Amino acid sequence: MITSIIRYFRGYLNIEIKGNALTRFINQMTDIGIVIWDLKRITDNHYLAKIYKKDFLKIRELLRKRKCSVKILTKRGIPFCLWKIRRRVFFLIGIILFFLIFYIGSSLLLSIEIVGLNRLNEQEILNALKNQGIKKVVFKDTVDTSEIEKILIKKFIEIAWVDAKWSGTKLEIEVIEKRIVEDIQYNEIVADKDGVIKELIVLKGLPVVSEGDTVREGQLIILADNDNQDARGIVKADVWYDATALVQLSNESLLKTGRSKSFYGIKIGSNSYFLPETKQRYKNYLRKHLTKKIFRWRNITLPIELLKEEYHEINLIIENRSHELASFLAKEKALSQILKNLDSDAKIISIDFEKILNEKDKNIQVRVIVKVEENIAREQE
Amino acid sequence: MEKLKKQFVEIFEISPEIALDLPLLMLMGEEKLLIENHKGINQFHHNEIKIKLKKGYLLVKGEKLNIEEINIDYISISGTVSALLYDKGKRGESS
Repeated sequence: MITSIIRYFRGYLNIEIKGNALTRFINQMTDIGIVIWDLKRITDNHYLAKIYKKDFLKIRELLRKRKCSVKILTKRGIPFCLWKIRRRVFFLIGIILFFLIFYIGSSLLLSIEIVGLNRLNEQEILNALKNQGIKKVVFKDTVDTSEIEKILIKKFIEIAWVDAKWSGTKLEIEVIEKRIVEDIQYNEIVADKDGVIKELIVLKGLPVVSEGDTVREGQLIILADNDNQDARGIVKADVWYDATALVQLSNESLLKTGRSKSFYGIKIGSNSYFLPETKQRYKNYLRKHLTKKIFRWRNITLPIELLKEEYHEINLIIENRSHELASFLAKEKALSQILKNLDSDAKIISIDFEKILNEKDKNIQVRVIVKVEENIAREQE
Repeated sequence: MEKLKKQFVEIFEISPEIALDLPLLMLMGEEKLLIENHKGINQFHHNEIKIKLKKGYLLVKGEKLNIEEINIDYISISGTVSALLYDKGKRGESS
């Protein structure tokens, strides 16, 4: 075992010896120090043997003097493996180079994209980045995104917020510019909604209505003293919102039983073939039809599609609701409709319900009226 | 001369196979035979291998005989050895 491992490490050849008086030839080989093993006799003139790789050249010298032929059948051992590898060394270098280029390429900054610019010049920002050593074809490690954010905010006063992040080899810089608030004069304040004014705080201008008045939407509340001045104030008013919701006393719902069957098929052109052809369907079912194109490259598609049809068995469940439950659900529904549209500063004062039971249609209708105190002032030019 | 050598070996108790270049055989059961101090092989058959010695030949008889390894120092034979025979044959014997 150990000798065979050593032989494998040194490398050996399976050779075929043909010729006359082979025993003499073998004696000559051993005389010059060649080690032969696994010597097998096929016929008198045909032997098989194994020799070390390094001994083969010596044999060739012997062969010149004799009429024997030696043929290498197989080469075994580590030296031959190494030789094979050496032959593919360029191939290996190519692979390594490929990965190296790939790695280096992916660790370079190859493009800079700046989004969100309106008034600022893109070139200006790029130049500013360049001064900091951030330009194309630079290792990504040297670029600190949080540093970029700081620099840009410091350098450009117009920038309110910057976000720099990597998207592969691309540096994406998202900029939000400061918004310039224009000084608009509001000459009047009108009501935004219908309501009863509860509190009228006039900061600037002249009130047209007084507390306790009912105003309609768009009605003038405060007027500026003159054309060049603002009208400012807070108008707190009671505003009523109402919404109605309808809930059926019986509810139908579909419930999957969990049993499903799938059929697979193929669609060629406009013909579709399913396996198995006969589809067993449930009494009530949901059908889901899925198609998948096999081959898609750019705009070229093969007219072959894989089809899958899923049949899910369903049960129809009719649920009878009590009046309390139905009215509760309706209330919830209506209330949520109102709350959705309420301002955040609105104060709910009271909530009223009005229930209408409709026996004939088997439903319950609920009307919800919410009284809210909120600011209804709207500035207008 | 030979006698002198023998006496020398006996007096100094040197391994005779080294000093006198005699063959040394080692037989392991009947499967393996190791022959040191050989002078090459003369015949090679499946049931008979003839090995040249300093004086004459050694005939190894058996079945499925193979030469496991042969180098300048020794021959190792594997197979089933049934007989070992010294042959003081002359040089002219056919091979």
